[in-house]
Amino acid sequence: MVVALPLNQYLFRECNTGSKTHEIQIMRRSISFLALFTVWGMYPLYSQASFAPVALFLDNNNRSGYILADNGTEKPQEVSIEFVFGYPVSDSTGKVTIFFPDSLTGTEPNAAPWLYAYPGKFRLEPYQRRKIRFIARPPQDLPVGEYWARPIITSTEMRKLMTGDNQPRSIEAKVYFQIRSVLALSYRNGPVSTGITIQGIRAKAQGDSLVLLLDMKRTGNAAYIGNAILRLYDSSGTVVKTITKQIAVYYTLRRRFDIDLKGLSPGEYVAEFELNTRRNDSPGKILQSTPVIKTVALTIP
Amino acid sequence: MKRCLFVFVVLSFVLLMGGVAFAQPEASITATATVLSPLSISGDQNLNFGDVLPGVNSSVDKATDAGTNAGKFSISGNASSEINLEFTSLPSALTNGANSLTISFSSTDAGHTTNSDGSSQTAFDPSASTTATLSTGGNLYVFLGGTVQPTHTQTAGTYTGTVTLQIYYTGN
Repeated sequence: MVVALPLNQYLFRECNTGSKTHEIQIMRRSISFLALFTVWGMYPLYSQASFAPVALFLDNNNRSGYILADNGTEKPQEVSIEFVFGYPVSDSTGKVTIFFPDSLTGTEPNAAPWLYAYPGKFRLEPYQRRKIRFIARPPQDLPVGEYWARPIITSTEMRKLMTGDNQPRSIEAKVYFQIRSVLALSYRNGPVSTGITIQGIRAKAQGDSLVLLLDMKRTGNAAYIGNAILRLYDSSGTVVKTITKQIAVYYTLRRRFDIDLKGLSPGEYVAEFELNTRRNDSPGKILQSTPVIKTVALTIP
Repeated sequence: MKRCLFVFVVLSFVLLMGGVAFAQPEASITATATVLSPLSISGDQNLNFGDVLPGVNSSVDKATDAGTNAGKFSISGNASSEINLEFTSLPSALTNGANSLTISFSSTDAGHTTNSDGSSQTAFDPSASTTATLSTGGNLYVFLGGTVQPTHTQTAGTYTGTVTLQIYYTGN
């Protein structure tokens, strides 16, 4: 039995057993609550603009979806949406950014040209929440694969026009803010799969830290969304450090792990990297793949 | 014979259902909800230089003026997630009608921290993108300072401009 919960409300269901209907007494050890509330309600309402979810997955059977926009302020917001092509990349230090190509060759898995937002521009009243629907209208001959776009939502606080002082006597300077929230969208056309390989692991000492650079390459025809877990074992096989980072590998990616050497005795260690797709931020949408594990021996002087 | 068979079937059914019922003193259900991963951004405090004098540069510091005049953004989202911050438009001048007032941002005029009071900021160049990590509570605060340079003949009035902050999860 799968039940959709209303926002921030606990659920009590009735169950029909035989000819009588009994209210179920919720017992901790017999009920599996996968989630009792949405994360949305956990965030304070002072926020200028909130958008959720931050990643949207569409496919050829489900070509529309939506995000929720929330204005948590007492001032109206002007909101507009555009789509651009982009994906995460990393530099030599492992710093990750989103790459937005200046020019496109036409061979990129670019979903932006055939994505539409309704409404594409609107006024979000104080404390108003509304849906922004995304619809994909891909070309009919679209090859099998996964296509990407970044919805960019620009929100600007609407200000009253300054009536001004006809004869101002002072100079006043003020800078207002505009916010652009960049989300992720994937469109899957036909059968897609993903996987990952570890291309290399490099270690270097840097101050009081040991820096490990993990190079990964995606396989299959869809992005690899998952986790990279570093476990550091001492010579007795005991885990002495664990670092978990989320990863999104669209083509290749380098991630950096800093291990604080304080408290670690000199000696032989083993660093184990596990890559898996066990993510809970987009339930049911993350493509699954067999975990990959690789180890490397380290000496801490 | 048919009647006996009918009674047998009915009794069997009743016993079977009764057995099931007695074997389940506790019922189980699975409840699921779609957990939305949000990204919330608040422009909490505009960058405000207040009144300035002609010919006298005026600066706002991202740290010492964090609680008063520095620009402040509050970001909340998934705990410990990595986000990318980028000021995609930094004005070189504020305007008041046809008049303009020069504004500049140094390479250390922006900072981020997990402390809402602006303490312990990590400085970054507002002209370049940077990567930061939300706290375990899912919060991050971004501060922005700057300098305005009114000329000796600067026309009086209110000068304004807009700074755009672009933010996104890297998915990492």
